[in-house]
Amino acid sequence: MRYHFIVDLDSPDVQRQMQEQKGFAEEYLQGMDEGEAILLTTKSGQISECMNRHAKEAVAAVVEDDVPETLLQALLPLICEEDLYLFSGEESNAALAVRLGVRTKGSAANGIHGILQGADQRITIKRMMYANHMEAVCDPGKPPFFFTIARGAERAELTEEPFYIQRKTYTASAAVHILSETCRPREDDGRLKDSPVVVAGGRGIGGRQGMERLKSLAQAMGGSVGASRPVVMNAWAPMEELLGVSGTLVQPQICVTAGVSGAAAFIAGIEKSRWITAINKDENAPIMKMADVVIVEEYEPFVRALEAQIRGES
Amino acid sequence: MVYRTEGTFLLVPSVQAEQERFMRILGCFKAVPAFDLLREEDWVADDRQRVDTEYVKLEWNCFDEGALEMMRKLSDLSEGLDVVFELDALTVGNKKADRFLKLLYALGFSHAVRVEAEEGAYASPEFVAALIASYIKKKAEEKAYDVVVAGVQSADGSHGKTPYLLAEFLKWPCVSQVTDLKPADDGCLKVISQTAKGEKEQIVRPPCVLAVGNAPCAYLRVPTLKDKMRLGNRPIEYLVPEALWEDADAFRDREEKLLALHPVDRKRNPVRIEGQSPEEKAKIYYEQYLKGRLSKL
Repeated sequence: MRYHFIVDLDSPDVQRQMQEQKGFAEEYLQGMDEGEAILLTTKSGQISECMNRHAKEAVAAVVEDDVPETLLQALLPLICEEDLYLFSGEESNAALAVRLGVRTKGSAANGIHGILQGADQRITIKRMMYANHMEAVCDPGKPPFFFTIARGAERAELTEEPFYIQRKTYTASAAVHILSETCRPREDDGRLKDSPVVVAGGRGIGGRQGMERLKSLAQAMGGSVGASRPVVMNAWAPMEELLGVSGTLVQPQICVTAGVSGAAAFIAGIEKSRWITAINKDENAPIMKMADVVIVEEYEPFVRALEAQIRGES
Repeated sequence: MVYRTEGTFLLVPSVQAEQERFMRILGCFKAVPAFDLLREEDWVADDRQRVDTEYVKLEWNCFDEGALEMMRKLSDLSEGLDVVFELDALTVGNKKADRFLKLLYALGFSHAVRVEAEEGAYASPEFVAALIASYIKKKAEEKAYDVVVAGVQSADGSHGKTPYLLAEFLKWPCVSQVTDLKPADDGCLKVISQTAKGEKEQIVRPPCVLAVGNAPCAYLRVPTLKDKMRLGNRPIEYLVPEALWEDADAFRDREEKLLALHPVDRKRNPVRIEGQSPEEKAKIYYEQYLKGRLSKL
């Protein structure tokens, strides 16, 4: 069995995705042969512009558009039935992995954070279940395997050389169901993901005003604001500020949570923070065991006083 | 897309006006245990590698809830247009899911279906998707669905597979990470989705499967008491898996098999800040813990 990376070269985040794929392979796929990577792109010129690589050899799959139906048509002829194909953890890759699994009569799994290789060449995978409360060890089924790795995987340095392109394929659009399409670049600037300080609000902040209060604190600390799922579902904060397993995963130096209960799916978004403070009036809330410092208090007067302290100093 | 002629010929002034286009949309959802209500000591796998959540109340799976509310909003937007969105709902689960189906009736859904599965929460996504696909195919002569809407993932299994499997089993195209839906001309839908490159707005011609992701304002609206009384007790269609799908073993070799389940320990060793007032606590916290860390950034 060989492993192959599948890469969306058009993604603005392609370097990070390749770093995570390489980091995952170095950790879990030692001893397995590296196969050619598959580079998907709508722009032929993109291939020669890619000056970093995580696999030595690659097939360039140029596609007329990036609609999943077209990408599936491009990928199918490149699949070897005994091999393992690894996507980065972007949500759109989950659809490709699962649908390739069906079309090739193979198996797919999403959000895996580990692979164990048995002596008999069989593999098992690790992924989260029960809203991120439990880690599952699973037999994924039969090859070919299509896995997306969990977002936020450890990264590895890329090699500063272009891919050796073995061959190039071209696939015409299969998007007969799409009559027109426009794409507006994302409004969030990625600041939350890379912020050294994150102040996160949960349901306990009570409303939009509470988020404004936290935003003000975040500014005083030189950081960004994030939110739990109930906050964004109530439209107290925009979806771009969602933290957690289906939102942004952050790893700041300092993370302060206010009014957050500590749902496992939320914690997954902040657990790589270096230092976590939890402010909650309920001392038994789960978050109070997952923080480094806890303050049992109504968040509003505490945050107001803390901001005054910080601004008074600056 | 089905064209249906309704109304009385005596009152209808033109052929154009008497034609209403119906777009039939099936919303597939799962009711999942409210996992955050479980205590730390409850997170133990039994000998079947399951966590006992029988006693925990069920709630909407968050992505499915967003999908169902999106369907209702789409229907609201059709007022004044020549298209009528007929909304149906289907779930695979036990009778505890009936209250969710009744609520959807009260919110104006036309038809509610439950495929009986005592162990619905543990059913594989392959099994669930095959049941739904089979229901849609069997129903096609009587009522052909144009669109299937479902959340991208459920909280319990966290497979993130069902809508994509469904698209493959139906041989329909699929749009993932959908965040909004609007009516469009000529029997199409305007579908807004999030991708790594940005927000896509596509005019999509059904049939298609729409996998709903992080939709804003995703809580399902609350029906009025009057609508609950008037609509909430309409009969639910009950089906057993055997009636839909004879070959239950078709995907067994491709299904993931759970071998072990471990609780995840995320605990740190917290220090509790004590003080007489919020101001005092803020001062202690800032002076002793935060200030030094901020200065190093």
